[in-house]
Amino acid sequence: MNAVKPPILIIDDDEVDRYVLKRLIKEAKLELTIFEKNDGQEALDFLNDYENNRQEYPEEFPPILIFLDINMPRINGIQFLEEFSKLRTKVDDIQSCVVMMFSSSEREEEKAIIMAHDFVKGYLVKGTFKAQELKEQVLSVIDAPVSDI
Amino acid sequence: MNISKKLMLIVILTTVEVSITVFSAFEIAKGAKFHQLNFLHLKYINQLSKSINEIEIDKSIDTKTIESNILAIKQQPIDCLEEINILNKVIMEIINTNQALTICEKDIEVADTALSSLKQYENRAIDRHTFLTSLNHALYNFNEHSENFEEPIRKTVSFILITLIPLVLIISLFNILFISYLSRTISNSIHNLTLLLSSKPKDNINLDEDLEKNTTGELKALIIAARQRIREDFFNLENNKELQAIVKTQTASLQQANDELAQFAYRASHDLKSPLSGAKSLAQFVILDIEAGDTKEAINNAKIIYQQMEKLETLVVDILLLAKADISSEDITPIDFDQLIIDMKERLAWLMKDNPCTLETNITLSKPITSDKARFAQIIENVISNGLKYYDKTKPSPYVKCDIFDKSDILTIIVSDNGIGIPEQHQDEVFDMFKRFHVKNSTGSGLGMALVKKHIEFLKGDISFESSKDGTIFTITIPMDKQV
Repeated sequence: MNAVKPPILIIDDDEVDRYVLKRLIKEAKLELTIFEKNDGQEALDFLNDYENNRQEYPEEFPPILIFLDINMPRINGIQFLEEFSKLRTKVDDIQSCVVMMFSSSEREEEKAIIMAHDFVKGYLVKGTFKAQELKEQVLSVIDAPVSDI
Repeated sequence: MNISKKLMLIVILTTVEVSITVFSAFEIAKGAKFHQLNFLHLKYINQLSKSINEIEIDKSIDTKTIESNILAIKQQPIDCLEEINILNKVIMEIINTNQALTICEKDIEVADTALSSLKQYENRAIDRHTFLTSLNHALYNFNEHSENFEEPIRKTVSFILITLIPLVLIISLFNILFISYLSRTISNSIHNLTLLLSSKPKDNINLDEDLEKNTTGELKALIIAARQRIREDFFNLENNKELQAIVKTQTASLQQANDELAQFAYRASHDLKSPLSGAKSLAQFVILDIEAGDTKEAINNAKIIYQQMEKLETLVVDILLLAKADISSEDITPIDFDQLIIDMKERLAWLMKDNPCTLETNITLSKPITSDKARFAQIIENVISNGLKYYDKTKPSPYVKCDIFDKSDILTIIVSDNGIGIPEQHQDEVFDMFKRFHVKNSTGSGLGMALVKKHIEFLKGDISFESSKDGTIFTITIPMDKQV
């Protein structure tokens, strides 16, 4: 059993949605370190401040999985992906970080743009999945420990 | 004179010229014929003279031969008189050569007398000697007539030659000159017209006037018809262009409206779905928590569900308000702005509670404002509530100030604050629907400023703002004379 809880980042402006996701993660008994950011801008600031965060969270930075909402103020999910793909070319450690969409939107044209990024590994629609499903999705992209309790 | 008349004149002149020429030729030919007849006359006179000589030698008289000779002689003056027409008579009378005709008549008389003598001789009424004497007398007269006949005919022919040929020449010459002149004037007017039409528009502002002055007859008619036609074609072309432009703009505005509607439907459904799906998940957690005996967490989640439902209600109300903003209301009443502010403060009590912001309102109106009260209430409330929501926690005395005043039929509402300001990169999106620029404190539907904009557009007013980190000032002007 791995002692370190893999870090993940939830980017969503809706506090309730973040709470729901965290609760499902807990229900799925996934052992994760969770960062939360309110929108794309905050998340980019967090990821860009690489050196400081590395010192502050030596074991838990950068996150290896990002749950990303689409509709957010300032920088939305699609804009975030653009910036994030640029950032991945600059910082080596971030290259292993993958994204799972977490949105109530299922617009096909948006989906096509989003899934064109090879680091986007899944698309969860809010309110349509249960803890077990989330667990399978997460475990298919990252190697996370599952608690026995 | 128009071109067709000029051409007609040329035709007439040419016809006259040709007629005179042909007439002269005929007259001259006639003169020749008269000479010929006279020679024939002389020939038969000679035969008669021979016959008479033979009679005088032979003594036997062949009345048949004599008679045929005299008849042959009589034939030429008859032919001659038949040839003469009225015109010839007139000319001959004028130039005094009509004795030729008298000679012919006399000649016929002489022949008739000779023939009657022949008859008398055959009937033995006269003797041989008398008969011969009368024949010799006739012969003498015939000769004399032939001799005298030549002179007037020659004179007549030469008169025709002298008068008609120069006349033909003069007419021909005139004709040539006149045709040259006319063809020049025709080609000149065409040339001038071509110059006028090919001149550059800027060099010739009064083209219509110039055309009017410089053209006549058929050319003028041609120009008028051409101008009319070009105008009609141009008008049709312009019309077509105009129609195309109208279709283009209307298509563009329809497209824009359609895009906006699609965007609105998408955002509205998203924002409606979001609190619903959150509440749905939370409700499941509440069940799980109660089953697990965790009442505290269950109550917390139930509270959040309640808040989600409130959020949903606000959104639905705002969407309805936005839809109603496009419909003109008939509720036009005098507006009591003081009461409007009091009502608004009541509605914003939740926001003003625990809010360090001060709200100051100054209303200075010279006359009562009569308009749609609900629109004014929504405009003022939305702008003020934004000021209250986005106050700057770092500033010592946060405030929102609202001034309402009128000046020469223009109502002005100024709402100023020292809040956090609108981020510069988002300032052009302030009036878009579902836009919120601040991550925290995002309590509204994102429709407030869109609604304000709609109301102000409906009232034919204007809204502008200035915003920085020091705060924001919204200035709204509404022309009261344009209100219904």
